[in-house]
Amino acid sequence: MDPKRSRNSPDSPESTRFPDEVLERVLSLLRSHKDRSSVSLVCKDWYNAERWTRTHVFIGNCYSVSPEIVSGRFPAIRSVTLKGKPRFSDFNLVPENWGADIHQWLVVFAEKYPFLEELRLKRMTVTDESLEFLATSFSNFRAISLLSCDGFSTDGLAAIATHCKNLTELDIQENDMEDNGGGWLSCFPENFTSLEVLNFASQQGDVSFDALERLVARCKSLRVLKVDKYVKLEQLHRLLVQSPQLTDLGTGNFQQELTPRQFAELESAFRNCKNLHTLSGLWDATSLYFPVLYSACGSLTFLNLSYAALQSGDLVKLLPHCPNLRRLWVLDTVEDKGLEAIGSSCPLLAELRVFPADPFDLDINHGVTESGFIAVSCGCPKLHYVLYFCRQMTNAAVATIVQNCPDFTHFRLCIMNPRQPDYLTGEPMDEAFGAVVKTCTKLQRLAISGLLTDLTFEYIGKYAKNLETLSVAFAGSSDWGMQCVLRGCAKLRKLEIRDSPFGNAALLSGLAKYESMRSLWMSACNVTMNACRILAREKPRLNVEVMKDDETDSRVDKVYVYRSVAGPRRDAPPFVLTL
Amino acid sequence: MAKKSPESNAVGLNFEETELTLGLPGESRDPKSGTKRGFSETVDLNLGGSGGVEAKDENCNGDPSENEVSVAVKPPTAKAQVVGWPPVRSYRKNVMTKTGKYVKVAADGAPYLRKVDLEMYNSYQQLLGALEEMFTCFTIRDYLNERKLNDLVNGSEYVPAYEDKDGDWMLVGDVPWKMFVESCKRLRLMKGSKAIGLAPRTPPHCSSTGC
Repeated sequence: MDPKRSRNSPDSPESTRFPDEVLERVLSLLRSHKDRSSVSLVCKDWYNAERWTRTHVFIGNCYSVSPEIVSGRFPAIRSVTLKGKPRFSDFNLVPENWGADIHQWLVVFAEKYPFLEELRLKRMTVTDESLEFLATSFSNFRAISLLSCDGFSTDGLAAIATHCKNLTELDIQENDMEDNGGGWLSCFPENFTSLEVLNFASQQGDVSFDALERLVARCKSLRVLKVDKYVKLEQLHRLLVQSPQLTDLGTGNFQQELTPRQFAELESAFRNCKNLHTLSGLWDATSLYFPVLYSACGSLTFLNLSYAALQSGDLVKLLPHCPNLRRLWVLDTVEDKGLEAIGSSCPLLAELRVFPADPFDLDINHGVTESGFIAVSCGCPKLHYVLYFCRQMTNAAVATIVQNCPDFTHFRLCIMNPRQPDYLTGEPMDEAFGAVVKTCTKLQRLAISGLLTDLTFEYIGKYAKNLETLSVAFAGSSDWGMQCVLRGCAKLRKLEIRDSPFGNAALLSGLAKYESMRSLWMSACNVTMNACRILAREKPRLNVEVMKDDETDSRVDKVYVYRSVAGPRRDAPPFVLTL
Repeated sequence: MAKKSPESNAVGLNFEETELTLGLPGESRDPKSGTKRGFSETVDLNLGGSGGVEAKDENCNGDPSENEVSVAVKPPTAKAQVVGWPPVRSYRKNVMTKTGKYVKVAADGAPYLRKVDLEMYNSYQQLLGALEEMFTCFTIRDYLNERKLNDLVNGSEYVPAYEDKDGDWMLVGDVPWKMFVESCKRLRLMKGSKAIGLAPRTPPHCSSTGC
């Protein structure tokens, strides 16, 4: 399908003109969408060459642009990535039916991109009808990935399985998916063999195992298989025997009484998986059956134990078998002792996430503390990504941690009790985050917590020059804090704030900045309707969306500000006021 | 003197007066405390730092070392749950709803509670072994003068007790294992001397409908 192009734009100077074929040939090798955006700004020739050669488009906010505009600019798209709702919707801060429905996009794509192959969605609403429409409208469709989406059920998956003859990827991750049974797996035709990625770990019910086993057996290119927690250990064995070529495995339930023979068989099956680099699932795992994994652990680079409530002793036994780990996710049941084991066994560790097993249990005080974090930082100097939920922290500890690991690019610390000070000194945690931004010059993403005054934000504005994403909750003393950040962080793209004393002056101080950002979210702050109206009036290329619970109060509960070339959205529900 | 419960209902059963308690002799009932039992006054664990506990500071052991590890700052009591905080994804929240029977375990001298899943064990032996492992480090802290670390749960130092469905505190080991798992609501490792008032080994198990 060779679209017509306008050749040889009359405006470009002769001496610097490439033949279009050469330029397009070169540009088609560019993958990064940031590079492509830069290229498109060089001149008109390059803009055109870039748009004809772009095959993948990434849209970070589905409302920043419309499907018509996208398809008008890029005629040759095969792959689309779309993100919808604001991130705080993950934590129930965005009411249902807010929007970000994929359907209208699909309708336009069916017309403009009939050869669409890939669709990757995050935080979008996807109905079964949309999935059916997708499955039947695009004959070349190959890959679908849904992360944190809602609105669909296993019936939608059945439609995909039934109609997409060339499917290579079905990746359903962490979605709010209605479970209408596991029969959808039987919908793959018997002669269907192209699957490479199958992830249904978030399914909350049984699947028909026979259909799964036959599917795995005939898809010889399968490299990613993540099953749900209803798949038992002995069933896992049967799957592994059929797919030793797997690189990425998500097990089902890891707790089952096995006979010695079953144990040996399972161990042998794992031994045959010589290419495994990612392991997850491990629901209800205890260290009892870890030995079956040991032979496969040597090549692991990513281990996700965040669904297994392991104790420290379990980690101590397992980790020495995983010396090549780069990424590790655990629950805080492993406690500081478990983290010490990480520090001593995983010298190559680059990413650590510690999730809370009991985040809402108010009178239990265990989990991990600052000493566990310090232990990891001592043993893992390459650490650059951390997500850490804890119930106590000190400024001194954080200073030590970033001294040990100055290369943090993502630092997300969640002290779970709002506004909690340094538990040893009683002081605010300002110096902790001050140390982070002063020491970690490459910092791109920061999430702060604990008792924080404006001083934290002064530090951020002054030192965090590469910061792109900032998450704020229960922090700050006055407008000044937010103003510091807006003024100082030149590369800021996403700012999300909740329950903090920032008001109109702060909001309006960013007037000149918001168009260079993807979005701003403020909820339970001190912003009023007036300021939002002023913002909307001064900046017509921003969409200013307000949600108010109380008709009488002039304060807004939630305001979501984002740049858009598509104008105000037309599908806003009644509780969203677009100013 | 014990306060009566608010108006007995028309059926006329005032349970409080007739219920067995496990307090020491002469203990008064205080309906304000967490359980209706006098026992609770000797058992109240001072959870340094966690909100919601009536700050009576009733420290059953009374020695200052109890408070050594307590947290310097107390978060506000009566915390309502904040929407969307901590920021754990709904998916993860839903998926971590546990199977199994989790009960809280408190140990005298330990600064905070633990939780165990009783369904992970098949016998008292296994359970007590696990508890011993879990609470070893706290006992070590308490015995800095290098007293011998006694067998935590079987020796003279600690007595495992549990609160059953009726709110009674019983000694662990009395009833068949499965019955125990079914009726146990929470566990407590008590310093031996405090277990005096506990119900005898085979308690006549009176329910609240009166004996």
